[in-house]
Amino acid sequence: MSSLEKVVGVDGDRRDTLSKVTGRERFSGDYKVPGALALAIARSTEAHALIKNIDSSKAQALPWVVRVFTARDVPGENSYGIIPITKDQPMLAEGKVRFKGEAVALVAAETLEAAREAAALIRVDYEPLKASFTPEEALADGADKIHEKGNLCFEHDSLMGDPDKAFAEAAVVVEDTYTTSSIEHSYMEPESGFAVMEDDIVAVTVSTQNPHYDHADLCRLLGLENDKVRVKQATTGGGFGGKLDLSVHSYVALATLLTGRPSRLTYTREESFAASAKRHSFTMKYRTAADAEGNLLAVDAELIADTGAYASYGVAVAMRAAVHAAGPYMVPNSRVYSRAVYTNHVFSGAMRGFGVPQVALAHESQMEKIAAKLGIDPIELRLKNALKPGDKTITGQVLGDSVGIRECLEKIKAVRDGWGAAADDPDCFRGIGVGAMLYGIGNTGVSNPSTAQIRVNEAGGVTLYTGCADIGQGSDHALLAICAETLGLSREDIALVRADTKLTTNAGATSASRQTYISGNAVKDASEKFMAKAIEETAKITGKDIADLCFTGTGVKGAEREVTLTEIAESLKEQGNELIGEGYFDPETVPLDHHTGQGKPYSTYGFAAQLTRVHVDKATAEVKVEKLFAVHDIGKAIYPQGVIGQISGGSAMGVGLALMEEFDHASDKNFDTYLIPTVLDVPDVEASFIEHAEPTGPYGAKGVGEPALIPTAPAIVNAISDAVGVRITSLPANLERVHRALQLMGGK
Amino acid sequence: MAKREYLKPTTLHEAVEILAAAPGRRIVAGGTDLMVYIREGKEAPAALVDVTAIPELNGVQKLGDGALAVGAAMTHSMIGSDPDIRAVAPVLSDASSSVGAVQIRNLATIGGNVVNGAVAADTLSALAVLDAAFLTFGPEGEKRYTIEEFFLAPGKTAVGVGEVLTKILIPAQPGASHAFIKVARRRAAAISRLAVSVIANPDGGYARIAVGAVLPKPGRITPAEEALKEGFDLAAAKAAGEAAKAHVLSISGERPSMVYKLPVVSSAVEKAVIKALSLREVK
Repeated sequence: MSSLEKVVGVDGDRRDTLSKVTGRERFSGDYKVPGALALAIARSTEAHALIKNIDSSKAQALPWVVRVFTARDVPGENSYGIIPITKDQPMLAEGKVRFKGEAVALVAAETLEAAREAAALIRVDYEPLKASFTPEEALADGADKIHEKGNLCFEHDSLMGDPDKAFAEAAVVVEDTYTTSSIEHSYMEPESGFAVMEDDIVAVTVSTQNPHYDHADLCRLLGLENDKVRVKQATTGGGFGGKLDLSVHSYVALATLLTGRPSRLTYTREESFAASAKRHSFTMKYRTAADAEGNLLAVDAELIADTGAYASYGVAVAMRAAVHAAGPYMVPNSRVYSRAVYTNHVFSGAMRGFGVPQVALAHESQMEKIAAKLGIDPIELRLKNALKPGDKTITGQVLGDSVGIRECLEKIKAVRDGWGAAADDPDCFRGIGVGAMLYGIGNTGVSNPSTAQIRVNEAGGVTLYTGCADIGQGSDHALLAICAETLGLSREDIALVRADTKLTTNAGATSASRQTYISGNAVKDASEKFMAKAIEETAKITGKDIADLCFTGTGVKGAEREVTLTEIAESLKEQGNELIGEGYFDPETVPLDHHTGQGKPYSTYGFAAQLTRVHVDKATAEVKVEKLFAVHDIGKAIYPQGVIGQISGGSAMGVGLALMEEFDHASDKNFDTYLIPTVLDVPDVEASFIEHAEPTGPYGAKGVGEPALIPTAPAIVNAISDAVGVRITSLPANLERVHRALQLMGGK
Repeated sequence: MAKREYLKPTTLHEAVEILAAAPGRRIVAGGTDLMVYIREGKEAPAALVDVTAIPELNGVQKLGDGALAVGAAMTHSMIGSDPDIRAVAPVLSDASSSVGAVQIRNLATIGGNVVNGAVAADTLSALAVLDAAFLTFGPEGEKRYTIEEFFLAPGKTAVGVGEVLTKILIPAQPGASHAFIKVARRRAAAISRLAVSVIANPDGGYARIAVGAVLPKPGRITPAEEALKEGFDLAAAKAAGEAAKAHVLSISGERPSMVYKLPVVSSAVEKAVIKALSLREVK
């Protein structure tokens, strides 16, 4: 240990690097679980229907089948969901099904083959209802109700200033309607987990982004007390928001609870496609007003999102989209009306960006249209309107000090000027495009705290306890850095216990780009309290003054000799106390007003701008992203390599959103037809960051997980528009849409 | 999962005997299509007969007249990197190199691509412009088919039950230049929306043009070839594209996918011709 070594802002090898690249890391499906029952799920063949009867006699009669479960077997409340006000999803369909692929019955058998064969033999009598596959159909008169409360899942209004007056007085008004597609997360590891009884506790090991939420809803479904369920996060092969909902958890837990035997379940890719959340498709009607100099005056946006059969994160997506509807710009007057609507598609939920990538397409396209109308350079127009510290957002929030959007824009301007004019050649058009964004770190307008503890371990070192699920993004590495930096240790000195509801306390979800900022703060708080407690106790032991003592990482110095952590811990233990640092952080927020949408939804925001150059093949309409430069204001890079990794990966996902990803609910069963970018489709991403330190962040850090993705698609669409002179307003900008744009250009 | 026999004959005669010995036996080579169909439940063969160890199906033979006999069990990776094929039929090298992704190309064979006869199969437009012929071996001995005789309908070829495709014969193409263009929704591991193969030899006075993924079966587009022969220049290239488009329209008709494909047949054929003839630099 070197107490002078700085850890924060320095790279270093992640603990999981070697085990992952050598294939030794164990994911849920890699564990040996002796005696485990295999599970299979019988899924709805109807999009919307009443269940008249479930006949499982043939399934039950098969050799090796142990038991068939239906909704009747669910011991607790057969309803769950991440948002407390919309727990509307059953683990096994009860009375009706609301999407094709919904779980109707669960089979436990001695072999996977028997379980699957039995699931296929379960006969369900359905009485079909009218299914709705778009929000418009679902809201139309005569649509069959998907839920008792009707088909409007959630609506949110936001009003600031006097938008009508602003539009009336504006020099320029641009308007358009934008649409985005439903998207599958496409994590490498499908949903997977297993359960065992640990005495009378149901212990679930699972691929998840949110073990403490899982724990709470499992207790609800199973009708068990908090101490009778344990959730352990296994190494998780990606999530992107799709592993925030319960998936296999409830099935393995139910089967194990009711049979007393271990059980396991891994979704096939087809099941993962059919039964896991999707990104909300949006339709967005925008009007934007500016004065003759290009100062934005007003935004009026109507957003409608297909939230599918169940709410999942629909409320959060509709609300976050509304809050971010104006982008990273100062807009004094605004009206936003945002809705999430139930349909009979598989449910939409959280996916990297929570509705912000969708509105970013709209606000960034609108900026281009204004720039074109006024003859202003698109980056200059953005710079003119970019938020500054002290500016008000469209929720009336006065921004603090960490607002780096102007610097991001200035950087991409310099890069663009360096690229020079994009030369056309006889076979292609080239264009350059910009995308910019802001993103609120943490959950929207609600308390979303994190906790952490530091304790002395048997070896006399320190152990960090965090409930934060590292889903591959590297939060372990970042939290260890914050802990090490604060304690004056190196990462290697610290043991880590992570994401196990028996051993760790709630850190909230690994979502909303919140863990570095919120859990990072909780870890820093825990570390500081641990040091303070150690010094305080040493003062008592040695009779020295606290001011003369200093924490060394392994003990406390200042007396004749260093008092070790173990000694301090034993001294405290004798007094019935413990050497522990208990950390807590909850970002300061003010809930959004129900009628005006005004409030302080987040305590800080990330900002970013990206620049792309594309070429559009004149003959075939194929688009190639030739260059992508990204710059993100992340406050402080705790782990720079991880930040660059997030930006690079997010941008790749953004290429998919921009050019090819479109989940066809009727036909996309797996990666045969659902296309995501390959390495050949993604340019070398030149990723960079700036550090406008956030005063409330741990060492100034904010977050980057979702911001990474958000500016990419707008930048690509704007580059295509720059290349061909026709704006594409619906994503993905696929061959057909780009070809149509080429034809329109030819017609001009 | 159902268990099935897996048999691996090492001679052609053995293969034919095994195939005839019981019903429901299916030839497998790379398995990149068949295994997917089995998983999806679309195929349930009683046994798989792996033909990749049969010597006649492997390697490239140079025939006396400069032609090549390409073993049907050669993978696309092998074809893409084979110097003899690159010398005689670079359009096939390019087409094979465009199949799927590296992992697929390391398994999938040209024979499989041919015998499945899929409309979007990547090598078929190339084989059409090469005027390739096909050798099979079965209970009645060896048979030879032209491309017109071989492909009957989408997914349907002349290869009978119990017959094995052994070789693809590629005539020499002295003095010809070529181009291959594949259009797909992404740059790898994607089914082609459209493929164009062109071989042209202005000095020899001939050109051959074929398109993939827009016609029910592979074959040359004679009207486009005729148009190109008018001058082998930019104007002729454009005319060839228009002729190809008219030909595709006459056979495949208007359908939703054609809104994109039809105009692109015209522009992609034009581009491929320009590329083949180096009328200007094409990236």
